[in-house]
Amino acid sequence: MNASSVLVTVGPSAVGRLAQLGLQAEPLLEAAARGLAAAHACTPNHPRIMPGLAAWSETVCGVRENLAAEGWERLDEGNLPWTVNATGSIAIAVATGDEETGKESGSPCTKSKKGPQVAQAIEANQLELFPQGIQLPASTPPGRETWLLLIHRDFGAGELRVELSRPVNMGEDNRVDGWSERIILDAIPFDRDLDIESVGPTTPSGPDIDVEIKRRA
Amino acid sequence: MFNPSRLVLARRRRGLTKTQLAKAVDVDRRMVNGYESGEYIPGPETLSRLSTELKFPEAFFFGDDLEEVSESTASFRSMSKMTAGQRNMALGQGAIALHFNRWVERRFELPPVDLPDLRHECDPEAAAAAVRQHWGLGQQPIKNLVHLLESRGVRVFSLSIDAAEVDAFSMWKETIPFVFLNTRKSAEHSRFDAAHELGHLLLHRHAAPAGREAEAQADAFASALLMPRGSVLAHAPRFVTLEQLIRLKRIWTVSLSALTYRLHAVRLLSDWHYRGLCIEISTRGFRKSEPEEAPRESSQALAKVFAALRADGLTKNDVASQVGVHPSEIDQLAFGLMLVSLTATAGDGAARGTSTARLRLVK
Repeated sequence: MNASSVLVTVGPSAVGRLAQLGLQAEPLLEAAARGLAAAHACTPNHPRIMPGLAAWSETVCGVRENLAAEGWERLDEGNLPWTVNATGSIAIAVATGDEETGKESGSPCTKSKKGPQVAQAIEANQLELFPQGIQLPASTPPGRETWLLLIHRDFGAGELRVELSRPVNMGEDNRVDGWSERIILDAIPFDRDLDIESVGPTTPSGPDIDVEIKRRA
Repeated sequence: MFNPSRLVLARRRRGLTKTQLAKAVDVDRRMVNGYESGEYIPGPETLSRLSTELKFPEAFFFGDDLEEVSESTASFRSMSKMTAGQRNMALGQGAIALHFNRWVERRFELPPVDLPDLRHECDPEAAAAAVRQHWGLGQQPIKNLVHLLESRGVRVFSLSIDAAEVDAFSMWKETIPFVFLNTRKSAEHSRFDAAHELGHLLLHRHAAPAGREAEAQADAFASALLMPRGSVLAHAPRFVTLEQLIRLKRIWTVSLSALTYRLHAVRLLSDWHYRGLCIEISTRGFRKSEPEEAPRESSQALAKVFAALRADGLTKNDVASQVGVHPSEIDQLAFGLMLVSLTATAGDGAARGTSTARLRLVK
């Protein structure tokens, strides 16, 4: 699909577009942040797939919880966990996106590309947030729009990029790489690995104090 | 002349009931009652046994009345959880500390009291900001809270009570503020206790500290004093993990739990994220054992006093006998400093050599 035919909204117009869908940015971003926190709670002793799985699982749960008050409901269909609005006209699933995710001029897909070099391949593997690949249902009920909440954790930029996008094309090996519309949310900054020496005073900090005592005559 | 009130104090200091003491020195409980009311005077043999059992020299029982520390003047952090025996031990140690402090202040001039009047400030966060401003601390982390308190005229002593229920207590004695810290806690825990007690001294000076609300106020004060809002907002990661917090807590020298609580209080953590971190802190055992514990704080004023006394050629036994207690008694309320600063006997040069290194003062 030609990238130029994709409708992309950012900033205030993205907020406006979300409102037309009965959504706000905050609940979606909060869900994405929950996912990131869940990934961060994993240690090297967890299975390697766990950080991505935990992030994905927690984000799905977050979307469902955060939208419940507005009447959205969970729906498991086609092996995917969806969140569907009260009228059944909009369904959202959560997926990992590649590094193009959240970039206004980017053309993201739902699976990270593997670099030609080994180092890049390893890094790409570590960046993988969510289970690879996503199988959209072959058919959706008439009148229902399906959307993907695409999330990409960018270690280099130190941000979590999020977009809500409407898939139209499925590439090879279950890769969604075509979109009719992309609503780009504000990125969530994070500190990948806090370096205490770089955040200001080293420890223990603050001035030394002299307690003055005098002999009495 | 035998002073019954000193026997009462000594017994309470050891956390003993009259019955327990009677049994320990092999007399009838009525006799202990009599000694304490002044009805009977213990004979030489009983006195010797009381002295041994209570670990006070016989001369201690013949001094003047000591100032009492009563439950109503002292504010305990977790009074409700303490047993009467633990309370008595803490208050008894407080009374000995007052007595020792008098002895020190007859010889040395300690810093004048400089605490702002915040009795009418009911917002702990505002009170912490006010005292920081009064002392010119800005948003700087407090490197050593005991030294800070001492430099502003608070007399700080250690409690040595091996009970989780006894954290700390504080009181005003006339115009002098006192803080007693149980040093058998982690350094971070003890620092928080010291800040908490400063909160009581400032916020609840004339009102009897009233239960849970006063404790919550003192906790909020301590949290804001140790981790000023602006400083936390400036240094906290935007995305919080436990591993980051373990490193970050060193900036303010606070416990992992205290930092996590503060991040939530300044709204850097969502309720959901805060709960998750709390659970993780518990499951990894960090509430029971503080990770990467900081070095303990101790008194600078007392270290200097002991250094000056040593220069005068006094031994720890000299000091103890002038105060009328055993050397260990002073050591327990002086952060263990006397033992390392003063020698046992006048000519004990070997111990002197090793002690100087540990006593370097902050200039």
